[in-house]
Amino acid sequence: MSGPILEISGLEVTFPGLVRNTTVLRGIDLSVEAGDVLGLVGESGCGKSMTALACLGMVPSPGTASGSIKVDDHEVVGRTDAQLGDLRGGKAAMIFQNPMRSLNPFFTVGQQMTEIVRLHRSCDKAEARAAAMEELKSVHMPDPAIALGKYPHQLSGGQIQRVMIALALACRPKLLIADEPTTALDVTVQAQIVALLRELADRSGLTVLFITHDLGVVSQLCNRVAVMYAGRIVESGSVADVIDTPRHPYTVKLMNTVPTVGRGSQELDSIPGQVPDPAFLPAGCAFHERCEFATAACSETVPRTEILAGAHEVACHRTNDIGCTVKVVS
Amino acid sequence: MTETTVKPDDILRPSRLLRARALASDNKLFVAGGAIFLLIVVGAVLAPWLAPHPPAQIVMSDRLMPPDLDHFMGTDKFGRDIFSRVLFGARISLTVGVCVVLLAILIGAPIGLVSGYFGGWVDTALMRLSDVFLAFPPLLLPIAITAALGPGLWNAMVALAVSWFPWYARIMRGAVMRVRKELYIDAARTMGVSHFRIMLRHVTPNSLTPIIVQGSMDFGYAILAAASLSFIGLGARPPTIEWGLMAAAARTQFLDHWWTALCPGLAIFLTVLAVNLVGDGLRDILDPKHGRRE
Repeated sequence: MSGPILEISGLEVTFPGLVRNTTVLRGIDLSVEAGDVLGLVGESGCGKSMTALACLGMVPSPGTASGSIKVDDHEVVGRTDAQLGDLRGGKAAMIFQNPMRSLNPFFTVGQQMTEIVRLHRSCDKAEARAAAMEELKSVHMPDPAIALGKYPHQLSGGQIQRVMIALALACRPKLLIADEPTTALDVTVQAQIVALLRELADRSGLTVLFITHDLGVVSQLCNRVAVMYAGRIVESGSVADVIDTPRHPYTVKLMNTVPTVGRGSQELDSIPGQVPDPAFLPAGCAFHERCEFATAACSETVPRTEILAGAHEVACHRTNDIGCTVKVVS
Repeated sequence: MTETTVKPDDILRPSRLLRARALASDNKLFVAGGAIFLLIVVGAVLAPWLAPHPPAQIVMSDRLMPPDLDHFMGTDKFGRDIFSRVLFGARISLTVGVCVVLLAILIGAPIGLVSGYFGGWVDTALMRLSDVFLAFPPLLLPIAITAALGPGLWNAMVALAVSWFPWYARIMRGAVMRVRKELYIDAARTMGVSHFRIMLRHVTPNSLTPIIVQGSMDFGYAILAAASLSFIGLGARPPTIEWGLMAAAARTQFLDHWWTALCPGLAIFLTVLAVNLVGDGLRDILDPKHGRRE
């Protein structure tokens, strides 16, 4: 295996403002090796989806990205839409949070799938249709032949998400970016989709960047996890390391907000305060205002990322002081 | 692909006939307008066979005859059968309606599409350009353009289309701006579909409804406006048989011979009415969110 499939280094995304610019991503470093399923978790507004869009060069205007994103050794930052045409769909594809709105209501599933297949492979309509059918089969779509003739509104959310996955994988991308693909679905369908992604990753060695705020899904699906807070990655590592022995206070708090069966009716923890406005971030560690371990240093300098044993990376001044005194309740 | 199984949907889905019937009972005016319009179209297409007299045949002995069984709508000052002329005039008027609206859409819709899709300075530039055309009173600009190009039916149509396209540009722009924010547009972009293709395949079909509705409404006004231009001598020239022209020719004698002006006028009125009813109905059918009027 050559280098990582996705390598993000020093990624910053800034939106110009009238008074001051707002930097929503502030130096993201992340790499996803071939075959990895990396879960990117964090609260709403911490920059998860922006990271995903940036990976495909789709930072919405007037935002600008700087730093470097390499997908399969192809630089994304600073490239035009025309230059990224082959990369999008061909090397990296994306599925979205709201499957019901991800397909054009005007065309049938078959028409849309053949369009994408023909865009990336040179083949005639019949071949493209056969390929589309194959893809639908591989995502366990019931009655793929009938599904091809249906309009999006005739399918359920779970079925459309299967179609979207089939569509995303139709051109054999190396990387699948899944932006909260199960959030809009109900729990049983969610479990099916997660199982499907797991199966695809196992079967074809698909690399997945899985964005979610559901730590339960992460532990089922992913082998690595990165925790984001206010436009930075605060902790990353293998799922076992991060979930079982979290070292960043934010990760610990996040873990404690997950309901656990058998924990009884005790109230769930919540993290006090709010995610800071990205335009007015506090100095130092962005989390210090909500952190019970914060010291003076925390409000002065931004913590550097330290590498602990087993490629477990943490950005916290007090990692060593806190150490394993932090215990997850669950 | 062989599909021998009965799809469960087929059983649940009401047949086309049933749906059409439900639609008709919901929307009586639409059906009435459609029927009148269809009648006019049939009359125009079958004019050579339906007309009792050749439309240009001058019979000086039959001048200004009131309506009777031989001449349903009487004759004009040259003894030509007005009913036959109205039938043949429908061909010109319908052509004018179709051409003006299509031409206006063909100019306006792409401008609105590009303007709404890209936004920013492209939008500003294109919209200010369109605003220039909106700054003139509705019929003044076509009159000025036809006067400059020289009178004639084709020039009148071009003039009408040129002065109407900004409306279509604006409508299209609004629809496109709404569709552009849809997730499936972003999804298409993540799959590497080019801007051009997205505009053509994903934005346009989903933005056309208001254009279709507006077009069907304007169809009637186009006929009316072309007739007006012909009436003041800027549109169709005499050998052409056109309703506005017929009304203009009747100017001198319609006080004593009412049928000479009333019959072409009635034809214009009925066509415009029918088309407007169809347009109203189309809006209700295609745009359920618009709300049903009581």
